[in-house]
Amino acid sequence: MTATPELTRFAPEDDLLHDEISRSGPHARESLLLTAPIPEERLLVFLYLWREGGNRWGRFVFVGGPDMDTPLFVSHSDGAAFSGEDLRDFTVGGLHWRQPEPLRVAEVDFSERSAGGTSIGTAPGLDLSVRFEGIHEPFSWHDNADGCPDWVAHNRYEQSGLTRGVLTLGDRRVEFAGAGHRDHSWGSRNWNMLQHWKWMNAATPDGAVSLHAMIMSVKGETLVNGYLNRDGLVSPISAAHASATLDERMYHRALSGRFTDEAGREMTLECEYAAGWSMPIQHLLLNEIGMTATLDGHPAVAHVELGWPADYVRALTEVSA
Amino acid sequence: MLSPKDDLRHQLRPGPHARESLFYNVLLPGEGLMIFGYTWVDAESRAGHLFAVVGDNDERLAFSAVDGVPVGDRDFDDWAVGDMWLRHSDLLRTASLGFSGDSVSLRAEFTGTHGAFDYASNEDGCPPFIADNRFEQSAHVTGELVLGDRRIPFDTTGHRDHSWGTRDWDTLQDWKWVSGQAGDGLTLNVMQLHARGETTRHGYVYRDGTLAPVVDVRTQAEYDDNWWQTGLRMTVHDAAGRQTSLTARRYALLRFDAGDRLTLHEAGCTGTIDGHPALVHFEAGWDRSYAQSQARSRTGTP
Repeated sequence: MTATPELTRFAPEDDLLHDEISRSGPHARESLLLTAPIPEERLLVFLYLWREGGNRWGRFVFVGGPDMDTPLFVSHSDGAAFSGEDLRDFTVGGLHWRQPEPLRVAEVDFSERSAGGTSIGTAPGLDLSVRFEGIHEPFSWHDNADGCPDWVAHNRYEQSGLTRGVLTLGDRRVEFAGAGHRDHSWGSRNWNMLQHWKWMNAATPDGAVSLHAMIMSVKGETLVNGYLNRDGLVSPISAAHASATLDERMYHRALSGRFTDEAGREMTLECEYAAGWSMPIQHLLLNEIGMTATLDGHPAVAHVELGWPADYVRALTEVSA
Repeated sequence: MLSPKDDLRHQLRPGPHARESLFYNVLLPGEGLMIFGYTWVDAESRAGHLFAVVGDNDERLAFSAVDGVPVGDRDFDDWAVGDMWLRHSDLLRTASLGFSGDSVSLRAEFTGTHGAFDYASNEDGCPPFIADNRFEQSAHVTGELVLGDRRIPFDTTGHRDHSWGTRDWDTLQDWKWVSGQAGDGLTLNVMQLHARGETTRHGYVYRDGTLAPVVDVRTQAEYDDNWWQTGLRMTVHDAAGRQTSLTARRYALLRFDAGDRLTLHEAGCTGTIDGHPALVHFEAGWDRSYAQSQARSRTGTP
């Protein structure tokens, strides 16, 4: 085993807005993400909000189900209203987000009827309450050998966590407790750099083992970010190999991954489709899928996002259609 | 396993991407020239060619492209499409390539410096959207190029390849194809593909008389404001356990489009293989919109 270098330690104020960095300049952006896969119910809860250019807020709230093409609930708002106190306790387009314990806990509530005008999906509406508790300190991409590219963000943290909550989709009420993931990035975000990526997150339900891995295809090269968390040690990923099984729509139905960290440890990830939705952002499709998983053979919960240029997907799926 | 017949035409399954294609290059950095010869035929026996002699920045000193030319049963032992001709006489070993145009003519004799290497011999195999199979071969090349009033004899190294089957360019996201020769005894071909979110590696290293499949590749390329590659550093690991390093610096470039989505940037380069002076052909293929986006981001163009 090699010595693990000291990791970046974020300050409590990193859970707040970074106005000096993310308020101006090309592609200026700050974003928060929280995902709660519930594979046993074949549900994926996905919450994403952003501020672009310092004053344009937006957010996605969706609940994916077994059919990628038939989301249970999707609500998207660009130009959403922001109110609140920084990112401690705030609301963006009806998405109420609180961070009562910096760098550890997030609590989110959302309620909307489909008749509200911003949502689609088969459910008549969504009532959601979810609490996320980090199971380790947030991890910075700067701690990976490939670093945090300046077109991704000035800095970005990723954190595995345990999730607990309740959601109501029409007549269906689901209480859940499981594992999830969140991130927070600030700086520039230029989506045009990406050719393809695999953003993989998994954790065992007790939080003892987790991983976050990002493999990006950029300018013809491959970049790797993320960490392995086991035995109380979070260590940067040094090598990552992942292969997805794609269906005729290029949705990933399964994925196998092998990862090595700077402490010399290895971890395997196996996962299969449970629930998801294909989220369009600019010229890209982000296929967000909650998955049943194993980490080193132990039952786990995973959220795996594969990103594709929409034109590429269209070209390949039209051929096979 | 290749057989000599693989240097001739194959029975192609009909389909939109069914094609058989052959490529030859001669790099003449002392003259600032790259000779690029490409010919193909589809399942309906309609053939084409792309022949170019270029300087840098897509300066086309000679360029000819034809497609849809009926060739019947004509085979590669006596091949002609428009002004370009080809003879595979000693199969899998020698090839003669020629072009006779108004202001340009070429005669080039290719003699393989090792056995032809097929991508089916790589761990990643030959992806079905690239070809049923494909072989690559470094060569010693002699001949003469006449370009306007320039008469340029050459005695150097070069490369050729031959692929057959489904050639679906549009499945590719990007790729690097590199051939290099540091004399006759130290040569390589590497293809690194990104397609459907996966990365595969193909090709060989030939050194010390041993031809070994590529097992891993690391690349780092540099680009100009057109998103045309200017240089490359590459490290190759082969199945014989050897590590080979390559550097390349562009002196010539040809750009053309293929399929519905792709653009090909062909760079003639000088460089090194493990420190020995080398001729390197570095082809980079891109989604056109991605390449344009990268060029815009480098120049600050919205």
